[in-house]
Amino acid sequence: MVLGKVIGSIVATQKDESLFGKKLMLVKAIDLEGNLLEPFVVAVDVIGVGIGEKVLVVNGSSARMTDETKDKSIDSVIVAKVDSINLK
Amino acid sequence: MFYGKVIGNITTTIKAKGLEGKKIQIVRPIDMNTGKELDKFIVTLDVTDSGIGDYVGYEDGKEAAWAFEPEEVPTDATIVAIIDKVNIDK
Repeated sequence: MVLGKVIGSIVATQKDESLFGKKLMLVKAIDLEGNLLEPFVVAVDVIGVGIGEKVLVVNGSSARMTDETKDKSIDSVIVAKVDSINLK
Repeated sequence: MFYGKVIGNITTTIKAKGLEGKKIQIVRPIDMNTGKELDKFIVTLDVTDSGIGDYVGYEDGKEAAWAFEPEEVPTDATIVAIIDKVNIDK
């Protein structure tokens, strides 16, 4: 899973049927201190997060393991909102 | 399977149904050739009882979800073993 920060959302009207009703968020990877890194993904939000929140993103075929994304054309999904990061 | 060290953990409340009750760890991958920790990290689920400081083996990709079969868990990285010892014949 990738630790990331939601930096925006994307609106698409014409899209594949399997994406109807799905919220698309723009997520940028962050380091453990919260600094933004270069890579970003467009991920489907199945839990309801807002801009600025730290989240966990699952990529690849594992992204289709949630009830909301099963058998859909989705390869990136926000699966959790981060409450705290505990380091040694 | 990849080799790494647990350096921390993450707590979450709002999450996908499949992640409920799952432990989330932060793992720093280790270079097998040099034995040194790499300057990156990966967030993983955990089917073992690992803690901070433990050396672990983790799966990534779709295989990571299979560790929880038959449950459907959305994860692309899962700790599947705690490493006791590494033997390399030099």
